[in-house]
Amino acid sequence: MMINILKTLPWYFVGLGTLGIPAILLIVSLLVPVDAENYFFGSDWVANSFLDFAGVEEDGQDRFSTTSEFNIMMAWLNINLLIVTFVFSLGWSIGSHFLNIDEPGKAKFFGLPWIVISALCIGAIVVVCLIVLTSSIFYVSQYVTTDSTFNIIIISAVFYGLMYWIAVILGTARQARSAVLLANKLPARNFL
Amino acid sequence: MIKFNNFIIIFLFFFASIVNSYAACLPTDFKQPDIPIKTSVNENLKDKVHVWYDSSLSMSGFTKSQSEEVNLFRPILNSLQQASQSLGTETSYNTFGSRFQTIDENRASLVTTQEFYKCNQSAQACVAKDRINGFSKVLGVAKKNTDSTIIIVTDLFISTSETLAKNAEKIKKPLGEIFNNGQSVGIFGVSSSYNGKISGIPLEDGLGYVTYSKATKRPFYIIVIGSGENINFIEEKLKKNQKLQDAIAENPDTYKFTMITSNVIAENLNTNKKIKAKNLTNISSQSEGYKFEYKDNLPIYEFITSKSNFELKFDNSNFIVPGSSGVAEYKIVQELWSLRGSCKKNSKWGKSNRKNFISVGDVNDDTLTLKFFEEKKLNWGLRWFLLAEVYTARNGSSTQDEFKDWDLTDSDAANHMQSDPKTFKTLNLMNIIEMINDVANEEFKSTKVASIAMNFELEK
Repeated sequence: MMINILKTLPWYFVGLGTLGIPAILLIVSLLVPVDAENYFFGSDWVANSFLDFAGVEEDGQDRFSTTSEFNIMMAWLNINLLIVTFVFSLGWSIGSHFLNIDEPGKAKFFGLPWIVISALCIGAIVVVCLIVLTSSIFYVSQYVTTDSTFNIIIISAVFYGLMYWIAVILGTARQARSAVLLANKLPARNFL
Repeated sequence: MIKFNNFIIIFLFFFASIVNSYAACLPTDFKQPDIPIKTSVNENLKDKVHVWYDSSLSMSGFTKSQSEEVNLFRPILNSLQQASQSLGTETSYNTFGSRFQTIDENRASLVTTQEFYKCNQSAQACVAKDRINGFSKVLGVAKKNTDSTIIIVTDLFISTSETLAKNAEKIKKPLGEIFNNGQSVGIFGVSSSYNGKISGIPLEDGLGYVTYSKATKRPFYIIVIGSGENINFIEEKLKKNQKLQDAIAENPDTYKFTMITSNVIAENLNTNKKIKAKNLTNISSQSEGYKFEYKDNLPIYEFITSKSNFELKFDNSNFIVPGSSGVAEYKIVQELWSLRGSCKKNSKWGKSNRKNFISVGDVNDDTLTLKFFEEKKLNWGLRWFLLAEVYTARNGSSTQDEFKDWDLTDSDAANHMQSDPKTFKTLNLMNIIEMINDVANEEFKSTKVASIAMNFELEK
């Protein structure tokens, strides 16, 4: 069992890295001090997409410093989402081995725990977004409108949900082939 | 010893830093609002008083006894003379109507007797003079004596021609200057027994005037031109008259009063520091970080709160002239700044462009209520500094309608006389009162009521 789990990990990290690396790059770009001349790192493109600058200016607050605070908030949001995705995807990649799916007659029972774990993962992503964007942790969250909050939640759920799915497909496909819903239908399954 | 001195110096440095930190916690572009200079009320109370008696013949009817009705003319005029003596440093007495002249105290003391109104000219000449009230002439004198209080005792029986065109201008022009000088006009009406001849009643066809002598009751008027405080002083003195009190108890319509003014604000609330900590009603003075202090007569409330809106309440009696029409509408000049982070020297405050974040509660209440951020809430996590300057935008409607019962229009005069009334009304009364009110509204000037600042930290 342990050997199978260890064999799982390299493919799991490859899967996680496909979207995990862009996520880390995004986090780094948000943590770099804001500089108007930068295009990606330390730029204000995320703030321009989601921040209500009209509200910021109405309150008399500075655009630059508010962008900096917003970037920090978004960085922390993505760090937390990355941790959640990592925990759930690794949890399923390892935990699915204990379901003995490869044994005859067991495969039909994996569907329910898969759906529950995946739903919990998506739910956790939504909860993390709501905590960061609506609680009193970051004052700058007040300048994110309801529409923008909804958009951030949807984008996060899709991006980190996809990251979770790719990570668990690659992590579980070889050792527990059917531990991911629809994985056995993938055209590239024979290469894994 | 040297160590102790060093300790004292360090202590003083830190103490000075703490004290100075408050001064540093103001927006850099904040400008201290102008606050009216303190004026002494007593100074206003001790000016010259000019009393003008209407010497027309019809006024003599108030001096004769009348068995059916109570005579209030004599007791009220006695009270008025005492009040005018108390009010000013010097009192002068004058007559208008049939005779326009200054009289001495001995002659003035006869005002409640028939002798005072005796016309020594021919009967025809006396009746002709009696039709001219001369009210506008008195106003002309009043406008020149802006530091004096003018008291006019009259039946206010003014012919229609005196309220029209050029004659109306003769009344309006001095009134405009009177109101422009910040003075008010108080009109007291007292219904008293009457036993005389009322002349100058226009005929229905407009071809002449007739007299009426069957009236047993008729109102006379005391018009006081001066500061609101002085008018209230006279009112208080008159109301203390026992005979008037008894008459009011029997019939409340015996006495009517209205004050017409272009400025109903008695004093700015900042001038005598009448704004207190308790005026901010829903923030406890015991709460953390609460401080209330005046900075050059500007009250500043400093506090930490999680409440999204709050209220300031001021008792109207603290700033509105008692008995005046009050304020129907306020204008609030409002400025708001925000600061992210702690309040230090050189902190960069940002000027907010939020508008209309302060609203005024019901103006008909006895209190002026200022409601802050009721419609759009402020964002937490910031320190806010606001400056509110409250001005009057429109005076309230005066209580002039109370006098409508005693008004007699030119067209109704003949009919009124034919009905043999016991109580005779006053010709063109509402014309005159409305004219005074219109002039006051024309001369209305926005007056600053209060300036208030708040410096608070808003938590979630």
